Amino acid sequence: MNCERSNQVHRYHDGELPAAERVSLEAHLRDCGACRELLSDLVRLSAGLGRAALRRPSAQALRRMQHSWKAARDRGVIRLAGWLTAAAAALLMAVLLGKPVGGLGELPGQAALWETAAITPPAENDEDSGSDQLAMAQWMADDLATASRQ
Amino acid sequence: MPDDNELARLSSRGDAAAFDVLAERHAAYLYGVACALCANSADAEDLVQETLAGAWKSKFRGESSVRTWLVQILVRQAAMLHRSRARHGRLASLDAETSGGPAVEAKGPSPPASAVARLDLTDMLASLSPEHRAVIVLRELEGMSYEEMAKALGVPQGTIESRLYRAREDLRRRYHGYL
Repeated sequence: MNCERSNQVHRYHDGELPAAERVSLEAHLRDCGACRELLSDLVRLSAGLGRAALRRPSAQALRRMQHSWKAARDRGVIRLAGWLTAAAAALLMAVLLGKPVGGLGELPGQAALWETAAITPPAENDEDSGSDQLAMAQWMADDLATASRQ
Repeated sequence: MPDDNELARLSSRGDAAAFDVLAERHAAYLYGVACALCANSADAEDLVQETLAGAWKSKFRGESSVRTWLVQILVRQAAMLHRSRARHGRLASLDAETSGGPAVEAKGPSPPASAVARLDLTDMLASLSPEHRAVIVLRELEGMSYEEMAKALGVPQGTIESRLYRAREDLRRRYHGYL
């Protein structure tokens, strides 16, 4: 027959009882045979579980598991390499396309540059193309201004 | 030979050789715990494999020993396996074990014959539900606190206490006089 404080005995055994309750329970344990027996059983049970034998894998099972985790690990490495390659490719694309796009926020007058870049094949967006595009934009602006004056 | 923490640190940086040493060091223990959790040697092998694959992908934070960290992953994998089995209407593999140890009468009034010599953990826990086995393993083998167990299993601390209480009461009745 369990005492109504048996829950506390479990927590006491696990070192989970707050100090104040611990003192109170220790006083209770002196008077309650059921709780003393429970505590004694819990101590023996924990010791028994701690001593209990774990099943050992056979050499064959160990080899199978070893093979499996290495395969899983290698799949992970290959997947990681795939992600890194994809990330590098994305970064490269961003660098190639990003130079004209980056000019967007620099000067309001340069808006024509990204419009040109968006329809220009990436191969043409090299280091020198920026100044060419700027010259072309300037020529178009001059041309339009001339046309409007006429 | 580097210790577990050093190996785990190297593993989390992608050192496959360090991970292999760590895995080889703990595989047999994990298998023993897996058998106690699922009582089936085929499932136990799968659980160890999934645990180690999970450990390779995740990062050890040093909040516990490496072994306890691995056992936490194992217990979560076992819980997922049991949930999956339950969803598919299959019985947990509790009584399916036929190899690797003496058969156990799950609800019998007396402990298995092996209690006379050295108790087998898988036999001892066979009468418990998967949830109760998990808390016994985490508490009694790994010495985790209620709070740590609640975090590891993703349930309230009160649930942990209740499971532990019931599991122990079951074991206490079953093994009274044998321990």
